[in-house]
Amino acid sequence: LTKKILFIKKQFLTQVCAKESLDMALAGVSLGLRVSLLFIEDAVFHLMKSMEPEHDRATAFFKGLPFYGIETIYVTLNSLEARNLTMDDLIDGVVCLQSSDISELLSQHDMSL
Amino acid sequence: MTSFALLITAAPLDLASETAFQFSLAALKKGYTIKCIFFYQNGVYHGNRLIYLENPALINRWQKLSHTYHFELTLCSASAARRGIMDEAQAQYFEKDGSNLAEGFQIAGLSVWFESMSSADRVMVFGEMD
Repeated sequence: LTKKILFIKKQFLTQVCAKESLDMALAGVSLGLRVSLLFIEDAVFHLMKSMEPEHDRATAFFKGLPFYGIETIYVTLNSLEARNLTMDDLIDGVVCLQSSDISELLSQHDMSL
Repeated sequence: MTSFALLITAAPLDLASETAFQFSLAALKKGYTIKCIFFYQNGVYHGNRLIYLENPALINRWQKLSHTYHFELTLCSASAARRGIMDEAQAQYFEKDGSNLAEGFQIAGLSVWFESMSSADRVMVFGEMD
């Protein structure tokens, strides 16, 4: 059975680090694992659609996430609210969760990193 | 007995690196198995053979552990290249004038990590997963 892995991203990172932080998730996808991402705290800024890719190549990379074979990209509502963001500010295809849903999400995955 | 795969993203002098070592030592002494230790992001600095520390006991302790208990110490190739940790082959490939990979470490791709991760009962992460 294919393992389901959840990668949790917490920080807003510089280009190189942001790319590196996702390398493992994407390698997992290419090896046939079922990979989802959960963005919390400042990491949610990476998913903003108003980020300009020409200033930050990592942003272009994040905008392309749904096309790399990642199963689901999650954010938490309180991380958005704390930063005065709404789902309208984010790229399409992101799923918003309540903090209380996180334990359920973790239990749906074989592993979280 | 439970088997572990360890992912270390902490740099050698970080507290999480010390915790990782003490955890490994305790687990191995209790008879648990470590399938592999994979060094990722800043964790790859563990494989720099030019590190100098006042306390010589802290040098090579990972290698001694892996030698005694027969598991591999693997650095992520992309993370390592970005941080200037290279074996002969990589140094040649990136046209650098020298290599600095410590003995007892190997450089490999992420597929090696996923392989050992899949076969281990538990995965432990030491350091931040940004």
